[in-house]
Amino acid sequence: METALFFIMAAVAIAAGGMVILNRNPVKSAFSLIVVMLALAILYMQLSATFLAIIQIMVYAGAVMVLFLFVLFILNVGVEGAFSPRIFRRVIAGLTGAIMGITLIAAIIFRGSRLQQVSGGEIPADFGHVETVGELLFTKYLLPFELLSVLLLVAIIGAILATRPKWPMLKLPPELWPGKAEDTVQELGEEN
Amino acid sequence: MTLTSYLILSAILFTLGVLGVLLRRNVIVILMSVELMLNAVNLAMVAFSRFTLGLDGQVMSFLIIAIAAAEAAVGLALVVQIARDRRTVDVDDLTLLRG
Repeated sequence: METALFFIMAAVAIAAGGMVILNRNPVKSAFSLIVVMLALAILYMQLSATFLAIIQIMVYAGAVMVLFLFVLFILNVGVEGAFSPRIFRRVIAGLTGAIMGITLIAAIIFRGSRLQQVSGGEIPADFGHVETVGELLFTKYLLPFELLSVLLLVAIIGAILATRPKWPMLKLPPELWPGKAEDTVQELGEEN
Repeated sequence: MTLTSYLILSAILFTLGVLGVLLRRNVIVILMSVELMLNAVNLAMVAFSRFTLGLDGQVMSFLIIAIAAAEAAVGLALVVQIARDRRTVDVDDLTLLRG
């Protein structure tokens, strides 16, 4: 049962992952990526990481992918040529990816005997529950956790600043928006 | 299932992500491929956590998910701004920094 579920979910994840990079329509790529993330969430549950499985569904399949889809809808990105038309670049990219994949898998397989040694042991009943993960997060990993909150704040501010129109637009009517900083300041002074 | 099979699945997904970054032209799909690579790394982390019976891998995975969310927000903000400015999201047309 466990083995069958693993192979089904692995096949779903690989097929959907292939669809992400092969599909010409970016919206279909986004939905394929959601399928990959849901398949991985099921694998996390099988690995008794229940808290992470829920976080994966809520944050990744929920929030992040909705953000991607919003941007796709806002920009109205149409169907286009998926891959670069330059054959040379395609060959180089394909070769690089193939060599990297073969190296990774070969390294895992040839180190397989060593990896087998770490497998095993009875898992505790509360392994991967929110209590145990949270306890570790607020003791051993407290500093990375707090730094992460600063990082998220910086990302929020950065995203807002990056999508803002030209800068002196705050409280100014639209006809004064495009980049005439000195003029607009003067006009404001006259009004007051 | 053994640790090796989970790691091989992770390696395959990571390779698909690398291929997506190298082959695709649409910036948004390239960002999606980066997310795919981050997901593959998360799977390896969680598998190691399960088979070494230590929760540190899951905490790392949690931190990676938060960083990926921040990266997607900033990356997509930049893409929106580029698309507004240059009217394209095709990386082959974004040659402003080419020497």
